[in-house]
Amino acid sequence: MCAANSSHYEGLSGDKIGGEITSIIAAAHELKAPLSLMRQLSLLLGENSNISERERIELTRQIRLSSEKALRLTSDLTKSARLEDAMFSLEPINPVELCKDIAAELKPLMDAHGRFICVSSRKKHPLLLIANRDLLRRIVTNFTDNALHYGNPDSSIEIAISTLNHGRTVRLSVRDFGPALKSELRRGIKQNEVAINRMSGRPESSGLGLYLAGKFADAMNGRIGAISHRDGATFYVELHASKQLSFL
Amino acid sequence: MKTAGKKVLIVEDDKWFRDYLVKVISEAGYEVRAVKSSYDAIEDIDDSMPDVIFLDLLLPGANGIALLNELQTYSDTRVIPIVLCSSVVETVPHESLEKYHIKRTLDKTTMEPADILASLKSVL
Repeated sequence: MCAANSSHYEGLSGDKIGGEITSIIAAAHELKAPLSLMRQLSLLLGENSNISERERIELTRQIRLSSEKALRLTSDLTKSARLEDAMFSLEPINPVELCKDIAAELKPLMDAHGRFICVSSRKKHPLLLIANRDLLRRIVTNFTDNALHYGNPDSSIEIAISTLNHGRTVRLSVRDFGPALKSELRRGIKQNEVAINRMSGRPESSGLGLYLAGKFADAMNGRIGAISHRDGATFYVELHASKQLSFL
Repeated sequence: MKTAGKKVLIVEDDKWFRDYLVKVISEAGYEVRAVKSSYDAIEDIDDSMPDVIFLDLLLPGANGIALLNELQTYSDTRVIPIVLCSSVVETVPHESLEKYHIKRTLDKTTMEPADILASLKSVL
């Protein structure tokens, strides 16, 4: 029995085991919210006889959208765990089109919350960046989920695409209008220490989503960051611009 | 215990969870108001004193503990019974329950609609 246990942890440092346990706890915590909500709504549907047809449709929609949120997180976790082993391609991507796709995909969720999402680009000419389409989509979706949760009711969510460093870097940012971030969260992101369980600026979250977004950005040679506003926050990812257009 | 006229203030940041609580509690005959944050709760309490506060712990901005501390500052609000409803309710130290006038705790992950109403009945 002892031998089996030793064998199981062979090659894992104490820090790594501790880190993995922390990640598991954070993931469990993060999944609690949508799962608890789905359970309560299911109970309401099953046991309450005062449910109108309209309410039934709305509750069913909320359960479906909550389950999709939980599934997105489990999918991100799986992807994150396999990042080091997995082969993924980097390709030139039009960020405006990608962000419009994400906005369209999340529209039902936005509608269900009475929220509006828009995409804007300051560049008149098409931009291209170098990224993995799937990972980049996960990062922006994660930021948008975050904005949806922490933004004020009826406030909009703005996805913006801009360039930095004379066009060498492309930034995709997601702006929400809600509580400001605490400085320790901004510092944590800046120092690339997006520590799970320490994201106290927005307490409902364990910070797992940002931690995963940071890992995905790292894998694409990019970085994430945050800007605090008096009336909300902007989370962004920066990636290398594609030089493909310069050859045209 | 008659529920009619008893005022319940729900403090819950998740809109769908808040709507769910409003439906369950108001259908039982309570007069329900619901807010999304500690700040809104303080404003609401200033307008009209509730008979019980149904409180989530993890809230954006000032969290539930901040609200509990604020309530303890004033003689009229410190006696309002609190029902704590959270998915991290097991992390609240036992000694905090009495300190903050928390009369019941509900675990969001395991509670039933009947538990919500039972908790309110037991503190009113």
